[in-house]
Amino acid sequence: MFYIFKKIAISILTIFLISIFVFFMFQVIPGDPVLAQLGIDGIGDNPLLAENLREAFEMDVPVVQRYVNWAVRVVGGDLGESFQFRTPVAELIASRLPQTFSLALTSLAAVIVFGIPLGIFLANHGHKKQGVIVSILSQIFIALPSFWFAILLIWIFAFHLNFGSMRVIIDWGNPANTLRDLTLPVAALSLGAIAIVARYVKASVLEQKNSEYVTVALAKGMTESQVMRKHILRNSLIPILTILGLTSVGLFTGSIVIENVFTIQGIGSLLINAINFNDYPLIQGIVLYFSVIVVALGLFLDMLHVLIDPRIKRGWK
Amino acid sequence: MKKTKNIFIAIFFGVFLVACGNAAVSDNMSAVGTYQNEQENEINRPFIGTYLSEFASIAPLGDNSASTREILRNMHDALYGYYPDGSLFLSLAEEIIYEMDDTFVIAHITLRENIYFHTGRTIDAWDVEYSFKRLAGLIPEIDTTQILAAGLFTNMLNGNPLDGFTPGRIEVHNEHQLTAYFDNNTGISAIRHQLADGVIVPRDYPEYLQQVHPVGAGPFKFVEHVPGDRIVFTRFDQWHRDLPEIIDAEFRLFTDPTVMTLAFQAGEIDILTVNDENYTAIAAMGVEIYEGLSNDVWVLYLNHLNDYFSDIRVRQAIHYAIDQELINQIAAGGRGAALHSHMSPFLTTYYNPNLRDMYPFNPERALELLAEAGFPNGFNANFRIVDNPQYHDIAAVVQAQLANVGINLGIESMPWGTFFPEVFQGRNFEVNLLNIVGFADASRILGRYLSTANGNISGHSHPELDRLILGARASADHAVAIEKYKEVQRVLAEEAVAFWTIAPGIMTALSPDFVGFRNYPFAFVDISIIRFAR
Repeated sequence: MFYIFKKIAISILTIFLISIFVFFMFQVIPGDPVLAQLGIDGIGDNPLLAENLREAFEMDVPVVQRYVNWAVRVVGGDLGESFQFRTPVAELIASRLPQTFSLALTSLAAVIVFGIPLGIFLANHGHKKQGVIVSILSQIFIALPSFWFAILLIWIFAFHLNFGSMRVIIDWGNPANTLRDLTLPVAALSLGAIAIVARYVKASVLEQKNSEYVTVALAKGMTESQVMRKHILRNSLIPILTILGLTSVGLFTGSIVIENVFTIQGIGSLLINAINFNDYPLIQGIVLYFSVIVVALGLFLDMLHVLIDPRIKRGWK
Repeated sequence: MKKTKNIFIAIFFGVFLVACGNAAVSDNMSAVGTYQNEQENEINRPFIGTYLSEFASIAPLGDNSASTREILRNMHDALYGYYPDGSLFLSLAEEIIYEMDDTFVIAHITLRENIYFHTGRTIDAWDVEYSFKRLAGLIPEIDTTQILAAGLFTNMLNGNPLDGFTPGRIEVHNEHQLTAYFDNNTGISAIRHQLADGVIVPRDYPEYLQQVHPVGAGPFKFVEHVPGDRIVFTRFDQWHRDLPEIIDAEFRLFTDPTVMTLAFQAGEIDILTVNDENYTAIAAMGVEIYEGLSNDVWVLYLNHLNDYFSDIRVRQAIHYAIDQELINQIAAGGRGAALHSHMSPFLTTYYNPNLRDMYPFNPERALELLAEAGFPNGFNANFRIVDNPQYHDIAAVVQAQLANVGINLGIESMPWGTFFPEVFQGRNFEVNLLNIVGFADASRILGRYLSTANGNISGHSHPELDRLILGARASADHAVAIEKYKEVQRVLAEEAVAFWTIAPGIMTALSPDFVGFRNYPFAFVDISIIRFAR
């Protein structure tokens, strides 16, 4: 129990430090939200409006006081109001969550469904011709920037083969269309991650395969698939879970770029819009959201590790 | 192990086949499908446009960004309308007569008969009064920070006396006639353009509804807005002018310009802004590309408070030393226009064509002038620009050409967020480059050269220029004002107040099903003038 409390306390402290960093970072970076909204001529045309906006945005309040105001509101569940949309940030984020989660979780499912079997396949056939080909392909997918790959997929499939959509509207009321339209963004987001997970699984499985207990199990008369299922995969689980956790973080943050390419109205496209308009409350809210996801995933993985291997917990006592 | 491999392969192909199977019955290209099916009955074919970023607000003039205004303007009408060349015509107003006294520009306005809002109600003088007050911040229930594109209405009707403004007033005489008293600091020319930009909205339609279901009096009425997806309009059949051919129009959000180009090539959308990157691909489609000039002006500002640039001979030397055609070729693909003052040839009404030969490209003459000014070996100066590829292109040409006459500019690029307070507001520069966004109104364009103007970045002071600009602003006779604005351009060029490089070109492609696109001197995709290709 002490271990869990300690982990939770560290997570909360991490989020607090991130919030300070993010808040002050955007105070240092040059940019004026009033200028972004009104433009040079807008400010010149109507200085009173510019002044009212500055007041509404609390730009005349000292920065430390502004942080305290923001932090107090955040603790109370209020992330403030977007400068650009004049809507509560929490409401905006909540309205975009389903899209981002749909993309990230579908991509995660693809990573699990394809990455793990592919890793096992590479561990067993890495030296054969098909294993080499898959290995080269996985290298390529790791190397390709996701936005470039996304545009390539659109060009090949949506443009030439008339499959998938250039703009993805996620509507789970129509699951068949949504799943079909999600194919390209999910592929763009997950192929690199599939390749990474496959390589980790391969390495982990190979390491276990070379262990003495495997030789003993085979000598006792177990079949290769029995050893794989009952021993090798189980013992490979911890490194695989770790890389899946890290990959999940990458999928959530990677969605920023992919959402923009496919015009998916998720958190990522909202963040890009917010940056363009110097919409600080919205930027801070979204970065905080990503921080919470990353920290929560880390916490979840730690718990999972303890469940799988209780020896890990002892190190904290 | 073989079993594992087979399962893996089966999963992979299973997913792929399911996906492909769905593709076979796909209706995601609904627009294209609809077009093809309905092409014979073209009157029902919708026009599909695009936008690049989500609207902050769809309320009338709620969002000041050009990408929002260029679309939402289709829903609205005003007392004046714009021709594509930027000149004005009476739209909702039948007549506007101006008078001037020491304090006010007095506009006697008579509205047309049979003009309607999208709600079907007749527009009357009280609606005009309400609309102007809404923009001026004079309706207590409406938060002014929600109407970001209110233009100069605050100064015209609700200016602060401490800033030298006199609050105006509006007198409604009957349902068709009203008189508006606008503070005369703005000048008649700017007021006329404000009356073209100040959209008329119904007084009995609350602002919170305007935020979700805007109502105006323009050629298209609002149907729906799906945030993050699209906005849909349909023709307003009670519009008082010639009805557009297009009945239904939809603008779709595309956040990636490359994907937008692919969508145009695939026939998903009907209009595309063409640039150097996508020009070859779009031209290869054989569609019509409408080429025009922008009303923006790329200005090389010279700081007149600096020892070098306070000397007119140095400023003139810069005019002789730079080959504008080279800038045009490198930065605008040859599709822009060389400028000779701060006025794009786009605005034919105001453009002074007689300045073209004032400073031919002549580096030898530049060297002579520099020597006369006491700089036979040239000098060094800082050159501050915004960190943006187009700025870098123009800055590189300027830097190279001025180096040929001994003026060595050290380029310092910075983000816009730094440039604005440091260079634009702080005037901390020797030379800077800035893209000045254009207006249709010459008084707004040239007013920035008043010695007291916020936009007087160069810090120059020239009594003759001030007299001409203020004279043009005050002139009730538009023809007289036009002549004065041409004079302003002449003085600007003679004084070499700045170096005006080019007005960039603008290219727009339309799908083969449509014709009639026209550029305006401001951001506007006017679908009321686009027609079906016959």
